[in-house]
Amino acid sequence: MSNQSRRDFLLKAGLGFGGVALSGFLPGGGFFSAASAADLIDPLAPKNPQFPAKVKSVIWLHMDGAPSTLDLYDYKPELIKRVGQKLPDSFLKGIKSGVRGGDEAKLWVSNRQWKQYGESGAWFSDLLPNLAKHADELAFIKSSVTVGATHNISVLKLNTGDLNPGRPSLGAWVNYALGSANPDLPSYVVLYNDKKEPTGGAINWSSGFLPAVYQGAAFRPGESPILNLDRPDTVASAQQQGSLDLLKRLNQRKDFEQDYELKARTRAYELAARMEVAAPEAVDLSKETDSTKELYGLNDDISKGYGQVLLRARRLVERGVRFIQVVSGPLEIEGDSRNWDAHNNLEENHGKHARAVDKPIAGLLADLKDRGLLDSTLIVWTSEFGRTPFGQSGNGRDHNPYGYTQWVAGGGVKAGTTFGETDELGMQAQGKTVDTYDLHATVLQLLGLDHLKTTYLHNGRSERPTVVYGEVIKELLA
Amino acid sequence: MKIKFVKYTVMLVLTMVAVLGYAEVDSDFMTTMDDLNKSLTSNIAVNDAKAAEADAVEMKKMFDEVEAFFVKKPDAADGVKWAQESRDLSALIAKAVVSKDFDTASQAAVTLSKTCKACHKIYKKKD
Repeated sequence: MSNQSRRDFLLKAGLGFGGVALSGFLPGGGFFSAASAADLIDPLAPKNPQFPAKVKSVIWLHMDGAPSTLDLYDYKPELIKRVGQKLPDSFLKGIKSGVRGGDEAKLWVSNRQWKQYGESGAWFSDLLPNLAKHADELAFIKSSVTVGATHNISVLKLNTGDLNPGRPSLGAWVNYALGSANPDLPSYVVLYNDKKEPTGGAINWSSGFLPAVYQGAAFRPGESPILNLDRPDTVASAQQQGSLDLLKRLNQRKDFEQDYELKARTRAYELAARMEVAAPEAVDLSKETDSTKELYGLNDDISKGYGQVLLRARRLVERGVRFIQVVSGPLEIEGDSRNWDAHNNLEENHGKHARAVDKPIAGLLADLKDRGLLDSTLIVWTSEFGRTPFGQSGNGRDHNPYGYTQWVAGGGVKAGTTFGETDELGMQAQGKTVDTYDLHATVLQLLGLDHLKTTYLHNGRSERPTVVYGEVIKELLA
Repeated sequence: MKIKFVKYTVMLVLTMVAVLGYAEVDSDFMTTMDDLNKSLTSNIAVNDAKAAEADAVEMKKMFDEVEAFFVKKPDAADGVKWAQESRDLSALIAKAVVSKDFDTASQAAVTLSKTCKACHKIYKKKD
């Protein structure tokens, strides 16, 4: 062994042992960050799941504003029979006054037609005719519950598992636990179809106490998905490339060889440079066929915005993005910009919002299936809470965190099933309930991650995505 | 002077014993339990048997007090049942961590947290 190689060996071995020793002192030296030098260089390096995963990507469809699932999926003949009556007190056990609707609240129904679809016989209202055709691909959770009855708080809980800001979102945990499968794109992307960012903003895709590198990257609608991603007009392409090449040569000098901090920073710059090309291409729909665009409802003004976003989601799945959080945008209701939050005029509100999402979601399911991607992708249809069976303002419904419907579809899901139920009027979940923690635990399970063992050391405590709760809903798994 | 000091000390000690003996299950008590539960979850996750056992034993004692509180409260059979279940789960966790069975302890801790939640839904005054 030459002096040079012996010195190299000693240096590398020293750094290796030092790295192992250092890992205990690194922020979050948890389950995954029994850190290696590779993690120091690239915290987004791909990591193996803890057990074989059923899916590679998740598309998290957040219906912002809380749709009334009593008007979409949860058919209640007894509610129709008792319309106009007061909700009996026996249905309100354990409910605090905030969502009781006052003494005058009467049971109310919208003008819906209901029908069963598929071999599973799942109920759908006439608001979702396209999605209904996929009844046998969905697994419904009809005993969903959460905490809080204000949007911002419950949206935060939906995404992070807590009612206060500071915890990582589910996507950030996934990013931390599995790293990136595509070095040219962020592995956690947020999509929305509105002029402004969704309700609550970036705390809903925050990395919380995890390193910032794991937070979601919000892609704006339009051709330029990330702000300031384009090369400034004042810098020519060749000029920029020349600067990057020079920087690379300088950074590769032997005296910087073991500078892992520098390497991490260089990687970040290189990712940014690669994203200049990869991100716009990933969301460019110009090469999609007319029939694909029609499948997603791009030929109809009302579904065009959401359809574009879901078509982008499929393209991101194809490119290995792990977690895609899609937030539905507002529409013009009674001359005002409103999300699904139908305290009044539910007929118009849900009529328009359902038309905006029905065809795109059905199209997404069909398209993923045709391309052989549905088996490796998990679709989650979710919201911050549901709505009450009693009316509000004469023609709307109030918030209801005590019982509502969500569904999952795709790889590893027991398709064509329904788990749980609400009471006969749709006020509260009964029997075994599914809280947001349980949904998070189930999503992680399908990604090959045990929520109890996906941990990060923060302020001397081992934290996990499901806080102190979480149970995998085995009945939803194939 | 010395006798007076001893008298006051004895009275102070007796008063403290009386106060502690009738400790209210109030929001401070529940905050302490919540924190203890988080500490227990963390200690199980990092396989710290000694610390997890100490947390679980402390929680078991506190659930004894919760049970006593609900026994005195009219129409609170659910509360008594949940307190008993929680006490038993705390005991199970303490036993599991001593035998280094952290998976069982983890699962039991989740069930314990869910039991707390079920009880809070009915008996907690505010969300």
